[in-house]
Amino acid sequence: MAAFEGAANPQEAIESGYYVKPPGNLLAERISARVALRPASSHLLIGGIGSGKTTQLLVACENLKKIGDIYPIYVDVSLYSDISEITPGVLTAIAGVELSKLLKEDSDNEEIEILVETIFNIAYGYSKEVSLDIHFFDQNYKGIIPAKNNYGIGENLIETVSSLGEYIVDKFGNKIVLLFDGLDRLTDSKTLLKILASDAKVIENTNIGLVIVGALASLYGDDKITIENSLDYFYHQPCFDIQNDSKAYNFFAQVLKSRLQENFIKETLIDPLIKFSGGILRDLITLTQSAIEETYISGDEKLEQKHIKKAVLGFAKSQVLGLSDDDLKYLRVIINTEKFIPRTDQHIKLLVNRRIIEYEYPKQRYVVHPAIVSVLNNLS
Amino acid sequence: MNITSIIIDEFLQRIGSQPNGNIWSVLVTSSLNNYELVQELEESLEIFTECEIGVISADNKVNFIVNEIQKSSEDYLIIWNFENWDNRKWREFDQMRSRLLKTRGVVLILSQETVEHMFTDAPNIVSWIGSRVYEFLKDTELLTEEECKARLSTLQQWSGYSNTQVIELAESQQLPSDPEYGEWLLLLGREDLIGR
Repeated sequence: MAAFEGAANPQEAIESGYYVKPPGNLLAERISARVALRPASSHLLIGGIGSGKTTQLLVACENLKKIGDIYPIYVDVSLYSDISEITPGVLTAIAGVELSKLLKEDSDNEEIEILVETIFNIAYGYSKEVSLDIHFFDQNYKGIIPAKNNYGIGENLIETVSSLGEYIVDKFGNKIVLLFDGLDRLTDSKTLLKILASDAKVIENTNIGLVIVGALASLYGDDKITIENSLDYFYHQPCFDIQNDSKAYNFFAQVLKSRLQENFIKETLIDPLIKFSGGILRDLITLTQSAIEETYISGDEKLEQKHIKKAVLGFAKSQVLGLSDDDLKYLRVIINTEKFIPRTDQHIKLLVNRRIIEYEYPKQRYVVHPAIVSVLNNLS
Repeated sequence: MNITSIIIDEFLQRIGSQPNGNIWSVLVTSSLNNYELVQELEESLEIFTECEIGVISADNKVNFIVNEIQKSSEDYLIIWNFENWDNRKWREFDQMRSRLLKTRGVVLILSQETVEHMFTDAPNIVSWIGSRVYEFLKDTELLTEEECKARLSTLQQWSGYSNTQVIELAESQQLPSDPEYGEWLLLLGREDLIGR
């Protein structure tokens, strides 16, 4: 059952018809509705790993395409640049390259041609013949996107992207929106803050709309409020509280039903799969895939309780890998209090790594991943 | 609590039951000679999956390894030699996850120490792996005689064929291509017939 592939490309999953609309005020709809009204606005979306952020971004992109006169461009920043080395300026350069692609058709305009060449030079580097006395040699200039040279957001870059932006607005109106995915893997919130304060502002000033995806960890540091207020709109994608929100539970059941073959699993067995996913969509998919694998391995034709038990145990055993005694102690505190008051970076890491799960609706609370709880009980 | 132990033929069975997609697994081994294990695994996977297997050593810069993974055209990859990877390298690898999205199987050969690094510092990759982390039991007898009989009986019930019929079908090149038949031939000691 290829439908249960946790590492699938979200775009392919949508195209395969596996997308189920989540309950409540859908992020994709909120973003696309706001962009439709005000295309040159800026948006920041924060959420945990496997919570479905990319899917929401792609759905927002599709919604905007359907509107007709808005041109959304989805960009996975990590395909352009090494996120671990990203510095201010990189996002602006990527924006410039994407805008250049849209202006390609106007290649007979000399000024545009020069701008396109300039942005590609800044982005990817170039070499130029220089002379020293009577000797000529090539001097290489590193580009901002691939190089780890802390290029910064220079005047030339800003001017070039702004000029490209003017041509874009002339051609398309204020209707271009860049959706930057991948910055959620940037764990250092200081760098995210710098990018929001520099690149995002430059792009906003060119009257280009902007959506950026950021990491959950940035909401648990000293810069939380600054980050939340850095762009026009802020969104937070928490996990689904399948225990206390019946709509979230039904949504998860629907996700399973849309992918499972009819009669392969008893209706009652959907419950433990949902419960042990902890309300994390990717975990629901990988756990179900593991349970299906257990079914095939045992030679059975239908998925049964024993297969789910094995899958959950395997998942739980892997999830405690790398946890220190202090981590285990802290997880026990969370089990008892359902409150998360991080005192160290390691505590935040437990949240980022999905050992602790954050819910916001119907009320804010924190739990230890249900698949891990049973293992913790056995360890005590 | 120890992670789930696995022997080679169970690992092969699991691969046979996985969907055709971007499926990542981890084999944890304490073996000092990982390369020997890699070679054995490569051979077994090649026979069992009937597809090309690529082997990549991770003893290099992360960017270089990611490029190697991106460039490779094989249907299944074995990536090993992570012993010098510290937390920084795992974080870097994790951040490049989008470049690793491809329809193929990947198995990482890790030690207990490196798998713990990965689970601490590569949460995006870990979210792909789910429960597919196994302690690899090398040099362990494949299946006990009893387990072997039980598995053969399951396969017979599933297909309606006897052991003799399966061998005859394989010899006449009429055996269906389902991976279960490859496993069946392995259990009968007739891996020479796989791929015919």
